Amino acid sequence: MVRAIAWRVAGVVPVLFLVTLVLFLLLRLAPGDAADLLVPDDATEAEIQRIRERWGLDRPWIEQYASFLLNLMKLDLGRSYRYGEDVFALIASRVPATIELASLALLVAAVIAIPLGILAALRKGKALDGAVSVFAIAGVSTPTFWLGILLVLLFSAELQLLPSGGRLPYGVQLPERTGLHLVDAVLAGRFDLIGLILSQLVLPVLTLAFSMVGIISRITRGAIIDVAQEEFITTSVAKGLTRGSIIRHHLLPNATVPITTILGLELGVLISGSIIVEVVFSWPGLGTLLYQAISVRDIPLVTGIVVTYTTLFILINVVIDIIYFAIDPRIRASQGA
Amino acid sequence: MKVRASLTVAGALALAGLSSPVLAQNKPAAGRTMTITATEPMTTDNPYGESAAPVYSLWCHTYGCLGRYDHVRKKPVGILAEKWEAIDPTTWRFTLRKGLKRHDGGPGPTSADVVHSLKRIRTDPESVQSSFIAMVEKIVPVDDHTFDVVTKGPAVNLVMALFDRLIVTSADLYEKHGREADKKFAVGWGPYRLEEYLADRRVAMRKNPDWTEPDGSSTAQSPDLVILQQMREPEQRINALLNNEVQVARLVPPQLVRRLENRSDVKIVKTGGIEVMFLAFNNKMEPWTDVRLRKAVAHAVNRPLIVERLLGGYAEVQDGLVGPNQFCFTGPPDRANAYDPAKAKALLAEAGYASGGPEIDFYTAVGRYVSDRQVAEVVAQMLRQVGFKVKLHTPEYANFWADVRRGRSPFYYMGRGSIFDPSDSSGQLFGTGGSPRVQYSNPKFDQLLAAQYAEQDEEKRCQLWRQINQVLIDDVPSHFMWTHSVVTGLRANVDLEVGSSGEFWLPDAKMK
Amino acid sequence: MRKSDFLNTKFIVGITCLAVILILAVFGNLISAHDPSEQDLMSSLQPPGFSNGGYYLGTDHLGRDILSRMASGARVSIVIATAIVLISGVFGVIYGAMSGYWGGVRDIVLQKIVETFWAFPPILLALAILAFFGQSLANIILALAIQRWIPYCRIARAQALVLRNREFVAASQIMGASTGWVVTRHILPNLLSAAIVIATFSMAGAILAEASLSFLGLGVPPEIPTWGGMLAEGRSYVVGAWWIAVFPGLGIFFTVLGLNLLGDWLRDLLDPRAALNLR
Repeated sequence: MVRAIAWRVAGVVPVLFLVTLVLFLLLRLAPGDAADLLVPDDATEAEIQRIRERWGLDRPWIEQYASFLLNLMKLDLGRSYRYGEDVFALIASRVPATIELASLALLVAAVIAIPLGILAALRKGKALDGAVSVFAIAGVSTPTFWLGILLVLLFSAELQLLPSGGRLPYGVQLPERTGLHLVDAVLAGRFDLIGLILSQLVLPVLTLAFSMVGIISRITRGAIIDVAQEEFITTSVAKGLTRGSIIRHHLLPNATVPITTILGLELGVLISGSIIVEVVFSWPGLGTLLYQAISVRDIPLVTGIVVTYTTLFILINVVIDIIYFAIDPRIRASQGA
Repeated sequence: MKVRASLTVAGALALAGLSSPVLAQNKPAAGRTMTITATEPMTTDNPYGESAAPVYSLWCHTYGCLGRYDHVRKKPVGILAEKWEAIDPTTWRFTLRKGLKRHDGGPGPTSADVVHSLKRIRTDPESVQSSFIAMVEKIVPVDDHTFDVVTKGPAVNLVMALFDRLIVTSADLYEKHGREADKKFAVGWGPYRLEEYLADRRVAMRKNPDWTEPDGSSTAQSPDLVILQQMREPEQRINALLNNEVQVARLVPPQLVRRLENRSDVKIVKTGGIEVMFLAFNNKMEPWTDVRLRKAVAHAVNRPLIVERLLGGYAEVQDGLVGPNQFCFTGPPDRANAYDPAKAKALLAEAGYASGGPEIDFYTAVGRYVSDRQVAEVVAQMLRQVGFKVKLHTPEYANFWADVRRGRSPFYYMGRGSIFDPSDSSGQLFGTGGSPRVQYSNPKFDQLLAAQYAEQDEEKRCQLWRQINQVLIDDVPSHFMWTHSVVTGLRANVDLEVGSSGEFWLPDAKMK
Repeated sequence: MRKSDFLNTKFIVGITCLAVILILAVFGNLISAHDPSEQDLMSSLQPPGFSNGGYYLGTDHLGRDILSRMASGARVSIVIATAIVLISGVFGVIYGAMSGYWGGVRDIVLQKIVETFWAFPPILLALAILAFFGQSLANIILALAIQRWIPYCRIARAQALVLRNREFVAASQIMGASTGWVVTRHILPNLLSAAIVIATFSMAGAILAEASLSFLGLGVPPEIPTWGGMLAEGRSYVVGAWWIAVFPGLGIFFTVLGLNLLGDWLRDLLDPRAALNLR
């Protein structure tokens, strides 16, 4: 198992290499030049030239790429053209916001979707199953930004119940250890802040979760139905076990693998796909940072963020593998063989 | 079992999240807190690292700058400087205020600090501000509080160029701490002291208790804590204002103004703007070398209709580069290119396009100016109605701007921000060799522009500007459209006067 | 067979949604007297009704007819979605099938390329393409197809890996059949049901993605009306002129709903296990 995971991690290297190479090519070929966008409208040619030299934009791209790779090996992502700051530090300051949003959205989606999926499977073909399908499909069919805009309009502008966006307001003292505000509040014993933090999370989390409920409940339903058709379940029924006991001891554990897979995949999608929700709610996460970096052709920052996304994806996959190994004896057996 | 247990925990957490009473978001913090939306990028805590009006305004409030143009009273007023005068055509003498104290208790601003600031603009590798001081030859200290600014040539517009822009920072702190001074010792002499700078997120500043206005007016009702909160989506600015998360929502686009109308808890402040919008031709690219075609475009566009029906009346049609909210406006020009489709068709026929054409590519900035893309769509249709064969392009801004700056864009809609004194910007846009964007060259224009730089008498200078404006209207190197009104949404308890540049002076603001 | 009744409900609702959209696409411009790109600033922001000069669904901020724009938008959406599905489906299936059929080093290299594409945040690739090649209908299709071929590729490869060891494939090889022949004859037919299921969902996703790109200001050129573009522009008018954004929003919702219902129905019908391999 350790070897399998190590192999997986090693497989990342060529992917990272290709990803950064493609990025460099695309960004260099694109007509917009960072130097043009970094200086004010009234800048002179000399000023643009100075900026170009400062960031080495006048060097051939292959040279820039080579020095980027060399620095990457030292875990140095360079400095952002736009912010003049260390790319690694910039990303580190934004990642927790994105992770907090994505994981909470996944949690909410799972809490809604898994019971719905189980119910739908147990009532397969009945009205309840149909109702769950419709709800699930409605979630998948709604444009995320549209839902977000309408929620803000209703809950912030009209009812004035929830903030329209952003994270903790100025003046709230919360020592940041993890950057995940909920966790930080608990660690610091600031339970009084939890309500405030949640009030800022509710709308973006619901917006993101709504689109996830569909797919997760469908997968759960399918997994349960599949397991229910297998032999040992039929045997259990024959042995006269109670319905509750069969669900608890046989159906759920065996349906965990596909559900875990889809949750992991969705977390990956959420982390990279939250950009729209971050824009709608001015959530200071990685997505908004990427969006702004692209708009000024900030090559080091764009590359750094994409490298971060890639690494996060792979981490998630490794974690899923470990979970598989822990919960499914059959996988354990096949890995050992 | 495990699965079930974790589900229960998750369920409990989610329930707690969904049903927990939402804490009072609208509760005001201690004292008068004013949260203002910010839309421009805020990328660096280096006061010389950006060049945009809102950023200059931020640093003028904290570090302090020499002075500012008071758009309400229509005159320049001092901030750190108390007196300025031209002692010869290329020398201006400034006197700094005495008795100011630095936020950390250090000494007041001196001539050495001003010299240092100029040097930092010129040599700091992160600086992007060297354009506005291009005309400055050197700054010569006379004594601790007096210095002379010597310009390379006659520069009658020097005060207007330096005011609102030249941020004065402490030479002493920079010498000790270098670039770190901007982060750890961001102290100056302005009316507010910087408390937090989170790039592209938020800036917080607190009232400087030692500050007094140069004219002695009271600042008792001005906000104690000011937070600039970045909100780039216009809808969000409106929602946040209605929800009292922000007290000042800037740059309200016309289509959203209606959401603030007829409400008792918010109000709207409308100010005439100075961001001139125009249709620019590249005068060296075909077919725009023909002045008849440029004129045909000007006559084909119905500006009043667009202003009334699309921009909700929140814009003022403008002929030429100098409009009513700008310096040296001397009334409407003698001749203007009004909407006249018949004349446009006649001009096209005269130029050899009686049966349609020419085929033109029209570019627009998107999301940069008020309703830019929509305006371009309307203009494209109006041009088609007189016979032009128009292809409208809406490239991403980075590409649009790269093409414009390199002179590769034949015909485009864009704006030029904060043209109050048009001297420098008109030179750059329309002067011979000014930049590749418009590629215009007219000796008469160049000569008039040079003459006004040397004209100390304001009335005579403004008559020169009247002639310059007329040249630009007659020759149509670009067709000027309008200036957008600056629309600001305020909570009912806030009173402030917004300048034409969109900025305001916080010590003048009043909160109840 | 109560189960099939239920499936039929899905089918009927799904088909009805799509039929309505199709009718709108084909006949919408006959119902309305106005051209979709014709502006009339004097009659901008007209509410829907029957007594406002034939603007049954109202007009937008430039005085364009919402109904005829809805019809054109439907056609554009259908074109975009179909093109994306065809391009990504054909490419993904062939790529995956070859990769799985060959196996070995070639498979590893091909799969690394797949992972590379998969690792990009979707919006970034779309933006890069639109920035470099400019905004046009063709480039939107390319930008949206560039990651959508991967699910097809995964399924095709998995299927090919299983099949290449079967006797009948080995027999064909021994008899001298070319790779192309084996793939088209034995592997593709076995993929069809899974590919069709993916296609319907992918179509739905593509329509939503186009709307999201428009929201970020990277959609199709303004002269081509799309639902996504209308929705994005209409969001400023939600209060006061709701019809500008609500009609295209409903258009997107019902099309995607119809496609998803149909996909669901197909999945139940063809192979319930395909559900697990969808992504």
